[in-house]
Amino acid sequence: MQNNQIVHIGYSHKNASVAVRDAVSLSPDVALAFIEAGVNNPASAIQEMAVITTCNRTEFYFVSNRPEILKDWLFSEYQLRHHLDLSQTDAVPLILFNEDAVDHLFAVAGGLESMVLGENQILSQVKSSYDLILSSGYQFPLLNRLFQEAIRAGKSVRTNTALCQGAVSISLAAVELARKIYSSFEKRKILLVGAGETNELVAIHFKAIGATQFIVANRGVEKRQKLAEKYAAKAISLDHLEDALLEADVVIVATGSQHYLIDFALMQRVIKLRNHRSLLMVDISSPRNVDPAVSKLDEIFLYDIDHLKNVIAENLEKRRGEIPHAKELIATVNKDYSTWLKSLDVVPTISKLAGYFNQIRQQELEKFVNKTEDREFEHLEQLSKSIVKKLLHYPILNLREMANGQKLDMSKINTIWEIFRLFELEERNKEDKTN
Amino acid sequence: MMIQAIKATNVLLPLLYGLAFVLYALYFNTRQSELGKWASKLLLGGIVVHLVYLVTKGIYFQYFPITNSFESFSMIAFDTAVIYYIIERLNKEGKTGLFFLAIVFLFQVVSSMFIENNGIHSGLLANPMFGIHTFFTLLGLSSLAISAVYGLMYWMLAKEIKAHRFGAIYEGLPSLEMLEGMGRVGSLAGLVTLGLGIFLGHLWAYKILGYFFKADPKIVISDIAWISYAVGWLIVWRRGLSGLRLSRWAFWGFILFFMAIMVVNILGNTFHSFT
Repeated sequence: MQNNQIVHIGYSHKNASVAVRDAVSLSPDVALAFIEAGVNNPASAIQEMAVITTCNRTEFYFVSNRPEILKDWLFSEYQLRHHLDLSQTDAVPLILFNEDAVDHLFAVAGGLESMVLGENQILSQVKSSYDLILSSGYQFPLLNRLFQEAIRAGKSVRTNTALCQGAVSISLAAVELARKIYSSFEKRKILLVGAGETNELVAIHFKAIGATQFIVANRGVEKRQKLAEKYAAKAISLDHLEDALLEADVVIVATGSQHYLIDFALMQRVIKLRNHRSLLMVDISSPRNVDPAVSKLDEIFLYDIDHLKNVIAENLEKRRGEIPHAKELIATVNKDYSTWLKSLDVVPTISKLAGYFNQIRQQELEKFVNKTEDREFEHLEQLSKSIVKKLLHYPILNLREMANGQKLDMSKINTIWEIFRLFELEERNKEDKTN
Repeated sequence: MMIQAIKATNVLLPLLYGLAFVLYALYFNTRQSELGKWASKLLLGGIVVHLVYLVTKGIYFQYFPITNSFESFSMIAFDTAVIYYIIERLNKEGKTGLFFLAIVFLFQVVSSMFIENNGIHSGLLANPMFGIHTFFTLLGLSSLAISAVYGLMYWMLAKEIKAHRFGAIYEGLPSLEMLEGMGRVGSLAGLVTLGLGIFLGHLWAYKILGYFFKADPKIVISDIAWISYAVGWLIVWRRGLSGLRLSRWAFWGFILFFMAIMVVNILGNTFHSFT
């Protein structure tokens, strides 16, 4: 037990190409099969195991007393199950131990390791990995607690910093702008001009914030109807754009048209007919499909792709500014976990140490069993107990203080076990129990 | 004993409002919801203490405490705080509190500094009907002022969004729709309470002076302003007007009304002055 280490082996956008990331990616079922194979095989020396698998990262967390064999075991499992020879790829897995591995997981949960800094999805993916541990039916005390703390770290970063705030994609930036104009979207009409991928993404994000009324305007009938069906939207041709502009509260234009679809004269007419109601227009097309002169109208808030890119750049800059604060929060959670981990380590050490001293005491006492009278033996026994107690007082006290004060690491614990040959004692005890 | 309590509360009120202002300012800057909650609780505490202060003063001096400028300042602070608090609770949105608490704090500081709690006042003003008339009139004016400030905020935020600027105003203020909604509540509250105040004023004039209406500039301006607001509201409601135009109307409408009252007070010969 004392040699156990927490080990991370992983591939992510930082150390592997998209081809390798795709190849090593695991479905939850396969991840569970990996876990079962690991913990059920004594040769692998894996006591606990967890897997995080997303489109950008596949990471394995182990608790093992033989960390040096884990990489080979993992490679052989991939070979066996995926017919994938990882040694032949140019990607080198990131391997981290103990505090570094813990720190890495907390940073992952906090969004600090994501491809898009502060990305939100990763926390739910860490939660899924934790659920996988729970559903596996295995008892993984160290990783169980580790993942709980990682989720806490992720939540803390999201609650107490702006690391995950502000849109960092074009479609989300459009939605964020709309939220600065309207406070609710149930009754708002979203006009999507163009039925391509961009507008579909926009529709997804608007739906997520409560929008239910969509109008899809597109030249091609098939495409507009396909998108309209997905979002229970009204599908119209571009000939009816003016009517749709009268109703809409938000207009997103993303088409491949090479000229303006919406010009100043049209919008001047529309605004009058709308009783000067505000209108957000986001032109994501390149070249632009909305005449920039439209922004001269007071009631129109017009944004093009460059404006949105500026929004994203500013948001990313703000997120980067939050990194030190996020790291401080993660360090706090890491400290809590380390304290817990070290308190776990010190208890069996103290117990074994006391056991070792008492064993010697009893061995020595036994030499006097038939050589002294009962009363004298009692005195000897009391004396020996008192000596052992005094001898152990400071070592135990200091061990506890070192554990509480974060001054104890696994190497020091291991030294104590080696000096007093506690491993042998543990083995002997196991054998005695077996016999 | 009671006068000691009145004097102590007179000092306590600016402190409470000042602290609430600081919390609202921090909330505006950091957007940490805990700060917003504490600011709101402190404001409610301030309002309760203020109400106790006004009631205690009324009981002790036996008059409605709006008989001079500094008492009116305190009443304006109280009215603004109450109306703002109601708007905040109705919309569950406290990010605009900073602006109104600044007004509340300033009025209360000036009142607390210069008020003389000696009970000297015109006997005419001891009539409770005068107190209620003035209370509702000030409540109405405060509400319309709040509505005007919301109009200004809308205007400022709309300008920032149009100019693609994402500074403190963009980050701190709630959405345009929310600002418009809050402004509407303010103007509706103003219309109702000012209307009630003006009506009670006419009623009191009838009881004391024997006529319902006198062609006094201050009264004429107040009546015209109220009718204009009422007509404006009707047009907005019937035609479903919203957005930038509405916010400009709310702002300039109040400025015009305020200026007219100022001009009448400074230049006009009005009987409607009791100080």
